[in-house]
Amino acid sequence: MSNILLGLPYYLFSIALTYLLLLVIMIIYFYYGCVFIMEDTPTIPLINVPSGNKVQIINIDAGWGLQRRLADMGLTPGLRVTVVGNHKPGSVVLNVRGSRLALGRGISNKIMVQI
Amino acid sequence: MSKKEKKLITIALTGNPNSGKTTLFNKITGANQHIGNWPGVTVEKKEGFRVYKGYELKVVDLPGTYSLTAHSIDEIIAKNFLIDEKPDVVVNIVDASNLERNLYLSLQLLEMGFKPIIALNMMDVAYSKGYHIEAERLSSLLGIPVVLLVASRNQGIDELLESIACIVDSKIRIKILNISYGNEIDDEITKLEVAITTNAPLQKYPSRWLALKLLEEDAGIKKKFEELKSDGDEILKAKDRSLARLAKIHRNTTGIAIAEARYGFISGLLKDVLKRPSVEKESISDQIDKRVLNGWLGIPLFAVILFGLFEIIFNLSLPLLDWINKGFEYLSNLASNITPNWLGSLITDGIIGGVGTVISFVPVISLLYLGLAILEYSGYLTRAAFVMDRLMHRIGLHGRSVVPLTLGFGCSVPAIMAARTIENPNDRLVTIMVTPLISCGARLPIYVLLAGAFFSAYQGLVIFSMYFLGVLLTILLAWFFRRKLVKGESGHFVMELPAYRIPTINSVLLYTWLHTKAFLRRAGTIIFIVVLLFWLLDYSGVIEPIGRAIAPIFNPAGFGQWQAASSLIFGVMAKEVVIGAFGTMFAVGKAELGETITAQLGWTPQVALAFMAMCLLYIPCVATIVTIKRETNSWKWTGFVVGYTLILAWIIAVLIYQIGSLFII
Repeated sequence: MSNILLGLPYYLFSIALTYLLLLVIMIIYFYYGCVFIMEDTPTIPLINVPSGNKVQIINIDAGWGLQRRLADMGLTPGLRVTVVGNHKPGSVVLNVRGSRLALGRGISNKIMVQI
Repeated sequence: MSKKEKKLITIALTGNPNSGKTTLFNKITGANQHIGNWPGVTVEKKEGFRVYKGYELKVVDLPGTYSLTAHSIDEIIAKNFLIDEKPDVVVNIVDASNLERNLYLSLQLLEMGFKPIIALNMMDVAYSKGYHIEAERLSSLLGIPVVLLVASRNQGIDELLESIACIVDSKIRIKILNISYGNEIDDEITKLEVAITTNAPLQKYPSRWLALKLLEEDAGIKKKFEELKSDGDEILKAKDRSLARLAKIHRNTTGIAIAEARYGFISGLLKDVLKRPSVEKESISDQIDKRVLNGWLGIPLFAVILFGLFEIIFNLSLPLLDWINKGFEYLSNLASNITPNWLGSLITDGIIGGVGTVISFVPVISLLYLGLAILEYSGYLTRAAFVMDRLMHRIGLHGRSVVPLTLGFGCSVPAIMAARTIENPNDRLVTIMVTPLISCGARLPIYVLLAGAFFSAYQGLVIFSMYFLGVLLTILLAWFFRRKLVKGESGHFVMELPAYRIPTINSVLLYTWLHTKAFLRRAGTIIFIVVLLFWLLDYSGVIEPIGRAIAPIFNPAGFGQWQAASSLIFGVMAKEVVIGAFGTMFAVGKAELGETITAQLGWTPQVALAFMAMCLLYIPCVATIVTIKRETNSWKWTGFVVGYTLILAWIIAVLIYQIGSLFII
C-alpha cells in the first residue's frame, strides 16, 4: 500500500507532463496548422477551374516577359481573382482588380492557382 | 504678346487602352486631327489642335499603354515622347469603373516626376456599378488635379480644358509623391540613387526613378547606362549586386515585387477614396460574353456577323460603284474629243481614268471602315479576335489576324495596315504575307464578267468558289509559312475585355472619315501615279510587245494570248483594270466582251476559271506592294510576297486548266 502512495506524485507528475506535452503539440498544430491544411489543397492550372470560382494565384510558370506583362495588367502572384467564365476549350476570363482579362489556353495552363 | 497671338501648348494624352482616350481626343480636337505614323515605326500617331481661351493646344494622343516600361513598342513611344518632348501638360485618362488597374499607369507617371491631370472618365459606368469616388480626396492624396468626365456625352470637357489652362498659368509646386516598395527594395533604391547621382547622373531623368527602373530591369534604361562606358558599368554592377541581395529575400523577381508594391499602394489609396458595393453583380457585358465567347457558339456567331457585314457592304457598294463608273464614263466621253490626240488620251485614260480608279475604291473602303468602327467601338472585335484565336493559332496566325483577313475582302491596303495591332512580329509578318491571297473588292468585276459569260447558270457558285479558293490558300500558306519560314515564338494571348458599349454615331463617322481620307492620301496617290505610268507605257506602245513576249508562259493555263497577258500586266496597277484593258484591246464594251473572248480567243469555261484564279492570286496590286514594304520595312519580304504569289498563281491556274480540261462541260 505504501508503495503505491510513494509513487503517486511521480504518477501524477507524468500525467501532467503528458497533458502539457499534448497541449503544446495542439497549440503548435493549430498555429501552423493552416500551412499544413493549405498544402493539402492542390495547386491546379487555371484552365481547370470552373466558372464562378474564386481562386488565389500561387505561381505563374512563365518567362519573365510574360510575368511582367501580366503584372502590368494587374495579375500578380498572391492575388485573389474570380473566374468569370471558363470557355473550354478556349479561353478563361478573369475578374482581375475589377477589369475583365481574357487569357488564352496556353497562358491559362501556366497559371497555378488554389481555390 | 499681342492679343491675336495665342500661346502654343503641347498636351500629351496617356492612359490605358479602352479608357476612352480616343473619344476624349476626338471631343477635344474634333476633325482637326491628323493620323500619321510615329517616325520609323508603324504605330499610329495622332495629333490634333484646339483653341481654348488664349491658348492654342496641340494635343498628342500617345498609344494606350498599361505601363511605361520598355517592353512593347507602344510603351517605348509613350515614354520617349514624355521624356524627350517634355509636353507642357500631361493628361492621364483613367477609367473610373476600373480604377485599380488604371492608377497603375498614373503611379508610374508620378514616379517619373510628372504632374499629370487625372481625367476620371466613364463616370457614368462607375456610377451604374455602384461606385462612389471621392475625387477631391484622391486629388489631395496624390497632389495632382482630378477632373470628372463622361467624354462620350461631352461632360467635363470644359472643366478639363480649364484645368489645363490653370496648370499652365500657375507655378504651383506640387508635392512629390513617395511610394514605398518595401523596406529592402527602398534601401536598394536609395543606394543606387546615391551611386547614380554621384557617378553617372543622366541629364533628363530623376536619379531615383533611374534606380527604380534599373531594379525593374528596364531594357531601355539599362542601355542608357551601357552607353556611359565605365561609369555606367559601375552602376550596372551595383544594380546586379542589389538584385542578388533582393533575390535572397523575395520569392518573386524584384520587378514583380515592385509591381505588387504599386498595387498595394493603390489598394491603400482606394480604401480611402473609393466605395464599391460588396458584391459585384454580373454585368450585362459578362452575360453577353457567356454566349459570345462560348467554345462552341462563338465561332459560328462570328461567321454570321462577318457574313452580315459583307452582305451589307456589297449590296450598298455595288450600286454606288455603278453610279460612279457612269459618272466617269460621261466625263471620259466629254474629254475624248480634245485635241491634240495625245492630250485627249492623257486626260481621258490617264487622268480621268486614274482618278476614276481611285474613287471607285471609296464605297467599299469607307463601308469597310464603317463596319470596322462599329465592331471596334462596340467592343465586339476584341471578343472576335479572342474566339478566333484558337483556330488562328492552329494555322499559325494570331487571333487578331482576323481583322486584316476580314478587311482583305474589301481591299488589301487597309487590311495590311490593320495588321499593326498584332504585337508579335512573326505573327504579324505571316498575316501580312497571306492577306493578298484573299479576294479583294477589285477582283470582283473580273469574276462577275467572266462567270457571267462562261458559267451563266452557275455564276454565283463560281464566284463563291474563287473566294473559297482564296481563303483555303490563305490557311494553307499561313500554316506553311509559319512552320517553315517565319519560325519563332508566337504571341501569347492575354487581352482586356472592355465592357460592351453602344458606339456613338459621331465617333463612328469620324473614324470612317479619317481613315478613308488617310487611305485616299496614301494609296490613292500611288494608284493615280501608276495609272498615269501605265497610260504612258500603253500610249507609247510598249505594253503590247511585252504582252506578246510573255504570253507563251500562260499556254499551259489556256490563256497564252497576248491580249490576256497584256491585261494581266495592267492588272498589276489595279486588279479591276484587267477587264477594262481587255475591253479596250478588242474595242468592245463590257457587255459584248464575253462573246468576243470566246469567239476571238477560243476560251472554254476551264480557261476562264483558270484566268480568274490567276487574277485572284498573282502579284498584289502596286498599292498593296507599296503598303507591304511600308509595314514590313523590308524589301526582302516584299520581294518574297511578289515572287511567291506569281509562282503560286501560275501553278494553280495551270492545275485548274489541265485538270478541268479532263472534264467536258
